[in-house]
Amino acid sequence: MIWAITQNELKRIWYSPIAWVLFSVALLVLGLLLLILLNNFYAEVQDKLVGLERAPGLTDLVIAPFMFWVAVVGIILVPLFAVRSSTEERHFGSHILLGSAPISAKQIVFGKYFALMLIALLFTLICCSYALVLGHFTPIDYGKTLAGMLAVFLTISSFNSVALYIANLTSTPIIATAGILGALLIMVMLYLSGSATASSSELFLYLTNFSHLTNLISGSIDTEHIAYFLLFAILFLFLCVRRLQLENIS
Amino acid sequence: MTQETLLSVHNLSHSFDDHQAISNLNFNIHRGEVVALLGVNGAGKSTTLNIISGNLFPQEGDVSICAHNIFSQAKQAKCNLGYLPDTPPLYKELNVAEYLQFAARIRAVEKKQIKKYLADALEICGLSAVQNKLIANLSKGYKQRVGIAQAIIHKPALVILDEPTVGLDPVQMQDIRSLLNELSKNHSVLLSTHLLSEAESTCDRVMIIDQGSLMLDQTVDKLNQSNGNTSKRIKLRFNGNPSIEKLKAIPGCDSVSCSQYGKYICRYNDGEFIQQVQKLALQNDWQLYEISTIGGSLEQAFMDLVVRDTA
Repeated sequence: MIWAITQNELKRIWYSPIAWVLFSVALLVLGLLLLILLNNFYAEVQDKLVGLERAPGLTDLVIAPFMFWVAVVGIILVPLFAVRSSTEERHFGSHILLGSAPISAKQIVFGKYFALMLIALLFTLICCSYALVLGHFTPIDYGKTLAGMLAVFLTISSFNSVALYIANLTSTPIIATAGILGALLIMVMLYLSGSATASSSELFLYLTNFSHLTNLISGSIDTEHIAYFLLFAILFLFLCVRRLQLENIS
Repeated sequence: MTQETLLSVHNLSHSFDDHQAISNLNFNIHRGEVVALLGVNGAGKSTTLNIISGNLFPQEGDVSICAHNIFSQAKQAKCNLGYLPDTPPLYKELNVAEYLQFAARIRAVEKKQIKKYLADALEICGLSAVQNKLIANLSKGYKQRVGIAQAIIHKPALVILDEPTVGLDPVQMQDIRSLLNELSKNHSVLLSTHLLSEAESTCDRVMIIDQGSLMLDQTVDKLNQSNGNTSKRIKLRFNGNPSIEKLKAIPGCDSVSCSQYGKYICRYNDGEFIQQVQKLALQNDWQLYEISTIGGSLEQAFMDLVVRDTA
């Protein structure tokens, strides 16, 4: 049943021109960004690194920042599909189809969430393939690159659970979109507050997904970060299930 | 012989903030019955159907479908239920066949059976010719058919349709009514409508709900019999302000009632009554602009129960 809902969500997104437009724009922007980072590396940075001991390479100075930006674009873009998946469904009344079917709130939430996860995976693979292509022309650290891909995927996937929860709180797409972007802004503010030299806070840094993202991108695959992303996703999926149960779409 | 009860509604009550939407509703629907739920806008029909379909949790009362409680045994109950809400729950970016296949899958139809069930639903609802068309490109009548098809695709024992003909043109309405007659051969149907002619022509039994309370629950046959001996009724509309006392004073008048929309319903038993009303309206400058007899027995019952008696 979960797979049926996932397939249906993917099909709806596949047929949607908005999805294609958003993906195309994101790929174009990220492609240009990679070009800028590469150009900057070869034109300005590379010469300064000559002779330095344990100098950072292309992976640290091009691929890692590129991965960070892939995550930023992904975390803005992919959760918007949650609005399409849930808020628009409520807006047009099609959620009643699921509500009157013999399926539970958990199945509905996980079905939709897995669809968003697969989109996040597709987005990560396509965008990060840019970085992997570089490996054909110049030596890169594949371990760090794969850690970066994992970081991007986990960041987008975990934030999808927040997006899904917010998308189920309202039937107005614009409110849901504003809510999701607002939640993202809170994450950014926590990261900025936590990493500011004057008022750095370990708690703020632990709470925001950006600090875990940057740690993973730098190549340190720590279970603490993976546990954070899992707990974050589980918390908001649980809230989402409760929300549907309270509405009695169960 | 006792009839099998498919739907049992017991002491159902629900309110939204201060507004009591439905109050202490009790009724059953048996296998093979086609029942109309009638009422004016805001009477509580859609709230009742939302609760029965498991989309709204009631503050009081129970609903059972095929002896399974809709909330505590939701899966078993919902397998026996097909529901078309007032707005068909469609995914407009899918084509008809894809949408109905999905509806079948979430209604726990076995994978092997989906093709057959799909073909049956397409045929019953007359959708075979448009099965590969995008739902977004269909006319309103066809969208309504797709909505009905999703409600019957898993061959449920009970089908609930919330105002299936609203917003359709007369031809589309007639098509949907024919479809309802077709459905009644294999399913029990609970049909919400405010079209009395629709209820009279397609249903075995009617329930009239007003301000959340069940006012009448009777078979159409009994309703026709019971109205054979009653007095006649007419509906009047005025631009001026008529005196109810003066209308009541006309010889042969049994009662006068006034609706919130300014309609006056008069019961009378004298052949001269209509001429007397016209004469009185002219004399008093009430500006009478509509005078019509109330037709079928259902319409008479509906007017009696729903129009507030001010006399």
